[in-house]
Amino acid sequence: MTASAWVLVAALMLASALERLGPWLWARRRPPSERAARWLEHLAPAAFAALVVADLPRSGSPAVVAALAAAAVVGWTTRHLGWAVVAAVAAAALGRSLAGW
Amino acid sequence: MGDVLPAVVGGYFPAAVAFGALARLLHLPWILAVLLSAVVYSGALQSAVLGLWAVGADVPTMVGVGVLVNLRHVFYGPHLERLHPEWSDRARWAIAPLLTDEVYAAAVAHPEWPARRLFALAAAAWATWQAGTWVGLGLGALVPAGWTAVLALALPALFLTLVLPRLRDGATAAGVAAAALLAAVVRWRGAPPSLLVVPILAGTSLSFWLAERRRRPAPGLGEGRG
Repeated sequence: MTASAWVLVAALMLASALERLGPWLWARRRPPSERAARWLEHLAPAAFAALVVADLPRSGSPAVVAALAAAAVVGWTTRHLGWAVVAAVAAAALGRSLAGW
Repeated sequence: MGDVLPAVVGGYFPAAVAFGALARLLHLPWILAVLLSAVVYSGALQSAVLGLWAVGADVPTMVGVGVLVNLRHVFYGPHLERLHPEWSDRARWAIAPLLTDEVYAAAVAHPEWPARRLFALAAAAWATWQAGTWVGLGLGALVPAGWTAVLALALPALFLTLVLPRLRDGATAAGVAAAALLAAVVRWRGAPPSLLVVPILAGTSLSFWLAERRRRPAPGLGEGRG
């Protein structure tokens, strides 16, 4: 593994620890403002939406549509990320087989 | 815990398998995949890193987007502190690194749980994630190279599944639409991946601003404080 990969792991580990534990310990002394908490509630949907677009492949539209539709339906009904991912991959594989993508 | 444990474990295993297999197919060093699962332990962040790795993003970009993706975690600890001010520092240090969306949701749904019980759930979920990652790394070696594109669809599917349950009002939907549109522009223009933070922050701010406007009472209709 390269030095930059080690730096990546170390930085993400530190950031994750700070994000999870830091505010919890800090909240014992001083609770966060309600306004900041409300702003943070809006962050996750926007971040996930941007990442959907960023990770979409540039080609293979029938399989892409099948995969995303399957993930949306399974994820919405089961509320399970794991099964939604399995459904997406299965639908994409089926689309690939049928359409020769 | 009987109703929550199978749900968390059953949901984590296939997602972790998909992460491990994708990491292998995208030529992420296996030790990096294992370490990300073990010490960073966040499906959304790990998937974001995979997507950015695939397009050749630099380390600061991956860290920056990763921090933003998981910034929602800063809210979990203070909320749990409000629910359980009696928990010891030892409990906080033990549970915090294992806090995920699902573990946090379980803690909020079951405020009667003692710290030991929540830790047991969190530890089982973490162990499941590790097992799934290893299985995925093994399976990834068996998948033909031509199927990489199929498995890569797990990433946008994962994020889509994370977005949909959060579309609870018009303000959030507007922020999501703005973030997606701006991300499409960033991508269409061939901008560096580091600019992905722009649509994320713009969508968040728009959504927050719209929601705050709705919260304000109309002039003359609000109740006085005096």
